Amino acid sequence: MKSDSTPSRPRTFPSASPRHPSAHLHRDPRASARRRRLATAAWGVALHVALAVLFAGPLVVEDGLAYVIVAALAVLAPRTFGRAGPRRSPVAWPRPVGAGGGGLTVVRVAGRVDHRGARLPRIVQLACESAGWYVFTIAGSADLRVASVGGPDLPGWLAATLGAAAATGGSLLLSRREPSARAARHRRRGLSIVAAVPLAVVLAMRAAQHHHAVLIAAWTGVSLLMLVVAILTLVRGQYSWQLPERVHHVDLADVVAPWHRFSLIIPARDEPILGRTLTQILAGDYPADLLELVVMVSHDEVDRPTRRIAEQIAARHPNVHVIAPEGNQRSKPLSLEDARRHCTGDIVGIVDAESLIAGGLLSYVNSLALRQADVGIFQGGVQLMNVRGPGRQVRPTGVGRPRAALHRWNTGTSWWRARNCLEYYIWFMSRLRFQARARFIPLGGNTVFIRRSVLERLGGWDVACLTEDCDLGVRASVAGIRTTVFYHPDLTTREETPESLTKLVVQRTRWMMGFMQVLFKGDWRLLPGARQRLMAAEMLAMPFFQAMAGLLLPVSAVLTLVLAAPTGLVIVFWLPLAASVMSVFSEQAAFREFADAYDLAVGRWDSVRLILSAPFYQLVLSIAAVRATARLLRGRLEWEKTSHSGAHHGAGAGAGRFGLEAAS
Amino acid sequence: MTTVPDVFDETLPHPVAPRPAAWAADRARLLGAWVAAGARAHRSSLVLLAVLLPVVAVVHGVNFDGWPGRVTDDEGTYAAQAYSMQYWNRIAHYTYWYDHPFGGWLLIAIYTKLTDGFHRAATAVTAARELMFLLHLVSCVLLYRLGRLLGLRRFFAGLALLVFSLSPLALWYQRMAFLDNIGVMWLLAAFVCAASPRRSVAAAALAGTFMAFSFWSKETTLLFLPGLYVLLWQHRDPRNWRFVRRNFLGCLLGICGIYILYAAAKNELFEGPGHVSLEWAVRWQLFDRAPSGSVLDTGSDTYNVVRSWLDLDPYLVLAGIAAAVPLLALRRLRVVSALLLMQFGFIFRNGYLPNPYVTAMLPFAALCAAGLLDAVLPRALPRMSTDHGGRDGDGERHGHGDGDGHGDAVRERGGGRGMPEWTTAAWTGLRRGAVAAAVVGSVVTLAWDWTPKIHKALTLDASAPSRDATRWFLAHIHDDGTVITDDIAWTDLTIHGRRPLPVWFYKLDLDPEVRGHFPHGWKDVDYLMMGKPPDSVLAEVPIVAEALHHSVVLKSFGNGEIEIRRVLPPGCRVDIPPARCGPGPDSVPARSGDGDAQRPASGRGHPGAGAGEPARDSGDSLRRRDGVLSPGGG
Repeated sequence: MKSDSTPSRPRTFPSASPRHPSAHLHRDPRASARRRRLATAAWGVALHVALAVLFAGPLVVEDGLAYVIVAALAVLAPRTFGRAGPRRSPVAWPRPVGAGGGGLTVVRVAGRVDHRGARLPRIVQLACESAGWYVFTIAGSADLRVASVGGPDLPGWLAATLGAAAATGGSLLLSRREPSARAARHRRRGLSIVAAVPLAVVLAMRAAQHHHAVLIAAWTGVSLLMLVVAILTLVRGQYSWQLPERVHHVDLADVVAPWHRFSLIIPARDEPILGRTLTQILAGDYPADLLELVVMVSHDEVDRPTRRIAEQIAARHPNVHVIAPEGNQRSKPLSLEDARRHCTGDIVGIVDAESLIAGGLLSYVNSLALRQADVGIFQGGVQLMNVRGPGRQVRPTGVGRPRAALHRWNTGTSWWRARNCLEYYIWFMSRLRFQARARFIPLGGNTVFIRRSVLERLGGWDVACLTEDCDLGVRASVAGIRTTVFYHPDLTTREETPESLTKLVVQRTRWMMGFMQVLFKGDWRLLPGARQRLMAAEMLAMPFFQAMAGLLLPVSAVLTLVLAAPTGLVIVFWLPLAASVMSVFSEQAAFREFADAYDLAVGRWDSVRLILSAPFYQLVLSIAAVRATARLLRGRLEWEKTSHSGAHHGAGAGAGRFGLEAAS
Repeated sequence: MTTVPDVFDETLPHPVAPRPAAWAADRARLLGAWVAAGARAHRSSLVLLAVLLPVVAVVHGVNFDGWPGRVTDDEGTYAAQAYSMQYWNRIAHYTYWYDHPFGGWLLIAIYTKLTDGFHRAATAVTAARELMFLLHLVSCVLLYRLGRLLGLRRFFAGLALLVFSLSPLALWYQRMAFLDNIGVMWLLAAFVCAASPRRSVAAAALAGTFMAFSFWSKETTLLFLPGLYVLLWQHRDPRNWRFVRRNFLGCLLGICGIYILYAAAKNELFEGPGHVSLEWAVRWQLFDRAPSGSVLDTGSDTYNVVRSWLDLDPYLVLAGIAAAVPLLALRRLRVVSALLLMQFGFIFRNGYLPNPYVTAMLPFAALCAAGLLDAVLPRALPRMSTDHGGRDGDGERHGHGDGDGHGDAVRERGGGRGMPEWTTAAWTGLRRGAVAAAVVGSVVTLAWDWTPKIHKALTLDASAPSRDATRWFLAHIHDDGTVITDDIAWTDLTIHGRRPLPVWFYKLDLDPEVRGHFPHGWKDVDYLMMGKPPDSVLAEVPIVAEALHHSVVLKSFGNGEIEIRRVLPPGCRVDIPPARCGPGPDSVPARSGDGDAQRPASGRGHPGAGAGEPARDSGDSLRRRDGVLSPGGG
């Protein structure tokens, strides 16, 4: 957080700063800020004591350790899940271009009085908490007892109170004045590290002494976390079927006359199939004068055939615009961002070049937009359709038998295709509907319709993000914009699975990196509700959970067999697995629903294969997650490098700053 | 900030995060509104329950400890196992051998932990019975709700509740600390969830969970699983049935599977040398356990058990069974009646018939009896059709399926289709008269038969001998002789700090680990504190039988219902304390010599366990190393 060196950075308490006199606070701003600080500190002390006593008492954790847990929570929890204050100056973000003028979120948030606001750096806070721990240890130890109070419990309480008071007081004092000079800040960090070292040494020694217990406790924690994640995933994946009346939520008969003007962005890159897509959209039932197609192609040799197709169609239809900006670095978010400025309709939709959109889709979105005036974004369903592989291929001559078998396994097999289709079905039919209701939604990148006013307010897409759709959804959720998700077999956009398993892994790696990017970018921490923030953290951290899921089974087996963990904990180790098994069976039900909805001829064998393939598919996802994590780690180093150079070039290196902020 | 677009102004987030107090107040208000709405929708039922529950509570609560007396050792066993869970972190006070899943006494242990039951209540069994009282109240509410969900009118659902609760059989068995009571409560909860009118996946998952809890309390409730599944199926909605089914089975199997996982984690799943196993226990329960004979054979145990049920209350169960046969034709009550008939049929299986078997029949019998009356009594059709959806808010939002709950009684009774008006009227009148006669007749009969029994249940203190015996023993026996007790006294003596720990008489013969502490057999036993077990039991425990044979009565309580005896090995007299007359002449020098030398070893034992273990070390310290004679930690 400290990488931002601009002096005009918003302070912890805007009202406390004389440069930002708060007009809408009637009371003395300084006094009210002080009151709030004290109230927060009192809360902090009370929470410290309550948790320390809870851990040391009913949960039977050793005294010193119990306080360490509390201290760690005090450092991590509010920083991670507490609502963040403004992180960067509003003028520099998202980008100076565009009609948005800075973006709704940031302006609003900057004007908000956030008494938690920007906090001390983690390491300084950690130093304060370790100071509290020293006080706690000294006050609580039998030899050095400060206060001789009778009764068995009181010293524990008292020691915790003293420690918490020391920690909270320290952080209060330090947060009052933030050193402006870079050197002073560095000095403070150094001192903090020194202060935290004894605690770290003690902890490390204790951990080394009891490494067996530490291992088992850590894995118990991981198992419980994975259990919670698995149950949440299961429940949210079944959201649409939770109540019978929730299943069929789209009324196709309820269609209003066309009124809204649509601008559909079709980003294309080397798509020979573009002509079919465009023709199909134009042949739809929506009147041509209320429809505008913005086809984005690149201005290079690779895209020449695609460009020609688009231009041919544009010549016949006046409402098709082909835009081919110059520039060697093309990406989807960049194309979308460029296309946004050419859109004139009041609803902007995104349609991938290779997808088949349904005939009545635009009419339905038009009706939705008219009926639900308070909804800003409409997310339609996207469905992969080929549950089976292309079938047996002839072995090309000159290719060895094993290589051909490998190739066939990579491209011709259908076990992962069925699961991939099913993933889409569950995601768009159920999961996204849940997310829309929970007011935190990572949008899909296809068949999503956004009111143009909303898009302008949000400042468009983040061109530096790998999953610009997810990022846009997060920022829309932060701005409190409602989303409606609708899924009906007659309205879904149909697509095909990736050509091969390797391509699937590559695609997943990109998505997961995107999710992590959005996670570290930290916009989700501006979400108004604590539950939303937790949900966002859980969802955006899904790649890590996916990676962990691959480890779960082998590690649990090893711990059960080799380390002879206590019986109760062994059961805990295996609980996430039970939840996953249940998810698999629930997915099988969804698969049958999917087959019924699309009249697919699937038999018993497909269901069986779906169940049997679950662990292998999970393995593929885990591989992708590990790849994504590794790439991101490397990527983050690069970002850090850019940020150093970016410091000289002003506000140019947005991504670099995000990376460093995440690292701090 | 330029212009804010029309539609987004109200959807923007609050600029200032609300304070926690305001947030909590907001939540509390929402919750209050939700509760109020629920209360409004169910107000008639709530009023009815508010009237009925105090009656039931008084009848079940007054003198719950006194009657029935301590007639079975099982109560004490469950209390003792709960005690060992709470204080020793062990599943049972002796080696757990998978006799029943341990969820039942886990619940007792949770209750006693929360309320400090074992140190507060008069005896350990009293604490367990307190829980049974609470469970019974919950069961009553669940039974009423189930009745309503199965389409019974409030009057008849209330009637079912009353007969279920006031039957002397219920008083007898549901006051006692039996696992069946816990299992039946979870079972009723599962049925209520399965019949939930919302047909949600969550309700099905809950039904599976409760069914699994029921299994965890008493494994025999798995018998009801097919019925539960059929009920769920009857109340299905085709739109989410696939998910409902899988979630139900998933929760059920997942939670039940933990039991197998537990056994596997302890390497006790399959039989092997030197350890107990789940496999053996299941086989024993299903096949090897000695059958208790045919119900038709007047000399058999089964006959006696059934006979004791009928002596307590001949009406409820028989009436329920009689009503169940015609009710098989009625869809909404078919599952309940089939389950009752199935239980009835199982009595004729000629296998082992446990005494509290009837506990699980009671709710179904009550529902069948009341349900038949409800089915016979015609409904006022025109009125029902108008305010079916509106006023009758008691969960009767039938989506489809058994939305015919109101009408089918009339239809299937062959009402007035195509008959002249007066025939219909006469038929309706006849049915009304029949129900009125049945209600009045049964009220009179039951009042006449049940009142003296209920009176007895409210006044007679049949547990006094057991309590007095414990008190006398603690007051008069202060030496550290080994005492063999039943499980009822075991917990009480243990709670009051009796060391060495008493030994449950079954385990002396049947548990090799305990047996190892008695190298000289019955001569190592100093005291006996129990009623005289029946000969069939004595045949299983030869050492105890031998000890009984060589003992004299010190004090007898309740006409020999429970006796405190002193075992006298050859050469020993009543007036010599047991420490000084050893099991045999050879061990006397060892005893006198080991006092000081062994002191550290025995004192080291388990410093954290047990409340105030007195330091009596002059006994045979070899015998008190682990949880058998001294409190064992987990």
